[in-house]
Amino acid sequence: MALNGVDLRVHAGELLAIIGPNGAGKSTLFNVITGHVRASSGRLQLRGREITGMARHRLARLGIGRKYQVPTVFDSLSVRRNLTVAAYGRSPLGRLVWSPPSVRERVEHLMEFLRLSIRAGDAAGTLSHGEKQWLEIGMVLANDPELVLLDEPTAGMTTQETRRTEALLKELAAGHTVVVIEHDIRFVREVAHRVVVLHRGRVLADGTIAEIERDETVRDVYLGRSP
Amino acid sequence: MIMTLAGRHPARLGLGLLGVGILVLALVPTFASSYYTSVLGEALAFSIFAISLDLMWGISGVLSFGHAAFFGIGAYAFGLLTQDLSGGSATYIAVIAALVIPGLFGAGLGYFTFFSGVSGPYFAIITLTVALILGQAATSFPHFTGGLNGLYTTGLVFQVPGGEIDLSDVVTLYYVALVLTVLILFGAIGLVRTPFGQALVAAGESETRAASLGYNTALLKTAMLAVSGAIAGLAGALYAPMASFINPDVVGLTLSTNVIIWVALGGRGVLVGGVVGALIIAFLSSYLSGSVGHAWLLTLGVLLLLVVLFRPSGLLGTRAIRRIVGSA
Repeated sequence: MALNGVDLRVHAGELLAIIGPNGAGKSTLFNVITGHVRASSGRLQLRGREITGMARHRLARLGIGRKYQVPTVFDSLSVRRNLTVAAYGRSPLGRLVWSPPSVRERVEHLMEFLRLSIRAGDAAGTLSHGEKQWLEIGMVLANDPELVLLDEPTAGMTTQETRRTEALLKELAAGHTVVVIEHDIRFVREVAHRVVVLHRGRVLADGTIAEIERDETVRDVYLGRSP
Repeated sequence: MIMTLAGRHPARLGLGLLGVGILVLALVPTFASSYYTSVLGEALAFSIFAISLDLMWGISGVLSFGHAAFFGIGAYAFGLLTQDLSGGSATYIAVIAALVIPGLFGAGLGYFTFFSGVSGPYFAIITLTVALILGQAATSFPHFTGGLNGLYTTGLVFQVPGGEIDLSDVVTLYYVALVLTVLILFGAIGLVRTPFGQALVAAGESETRAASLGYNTALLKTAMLAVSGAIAGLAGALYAPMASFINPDVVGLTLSTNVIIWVALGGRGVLVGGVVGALIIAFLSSYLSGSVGHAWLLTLGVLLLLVVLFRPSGLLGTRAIRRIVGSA
């Protein structure tokens, strides 16, 4: 069983980090929340509203956004069009017939913020790994969901790229509720308000980073015994 | 020179070349024989049809293998109504019906397929079947459709303020077709560049990702199929007076395959590709059948093979043009 008895409550405005060894069920948890995988039992609620079993696009419309582990941008579309498509994702069909200048301006601002302006017209498939990750974070920002799920946003990044990503995530965390899966404990220490440790599909520990780092069981299964 | 221009102002160069193309087409009746004018006029009706297919195949990433269903419904709706109605507004009503009925048919077909998760080859097979069924129906109800003998669509006029447009005149029909082609082409490009079109381009690349952003991809594709069906129906209504009569061929498999070839040859996802493909094939078919006789189909086949081998995305299916159109 990938997930077993996970009872998790995320508070509005919080930045919650989920850590745990490979195969602990972290990505599965995200897949259940975003409707990619249906849980055999259990319930999901968003602001008191029952969302169990809802279609993916409806969950996204209600305000659940996600950045995948492997950067998933639209490779054949330009950087600018990727962001524009993300910006309109939650609009009703009737709003899709015209693009007001306000959205175009927002996309230009986002590209500047992501330092991708010079690549605006390039196909997203030609971006470097780091740039793709930033573009995808930018797409989440453009989509503006209330709850953001980030799956290993710094995976495969150089130290420099990781720093830059941290800055972007702090910006993201300012206006959104964020749940982030991350292996880099230094990164978690830097950004997380609260940490949940998953192990073999169960919640092993839940608390502040200081509490987690003191926890004996967590040190045994995940963090290790070194200083 | 052209390369530098293309590098700096690809959109301007593209528009310039398109303008030259339209100008040449506009001059065709002044130098071409009445035969070639009618051949190219028919090709223009087919090119509108090709644009409608490209909206689904090249833009939304969904191949319809029975697109003649929409073309045929439009042609029959136009043919039957102009036959049964009389009075000045009959032709107008027939044209509107040729837009609305195939459009609704597309919406219905999209509802039953896309909302049930039908995609890729399964959608191709379903549309193929629909076209075959409609082709059979057109044959099997002769007192309604004229059956294999067909339905005559001659001597039609459009009442317009200050006169009338005679739809039996080759040159008049040619210009009607040219104006409609240009309008539909620019309209389709405009549609692709709206957030709606962009969402479909994105969904064509990754439906999962588009859904994760909040797009109801089934609804978007259904809406596009309705638009595409309406445009195909208009092409059918335009074709009817050109051919002087319509028979079950307008709704069958051959035409469904031909339109795929036009788009594949000209380039998919660029809208103008289908127009170029339809014009090239129409011109070559009539030219080659005159010059090499029975070997014309073979020659055409070799040409298509070369394009598929060496330019798999079609003659105009380049990234630069896709970017101008909005599909990349």
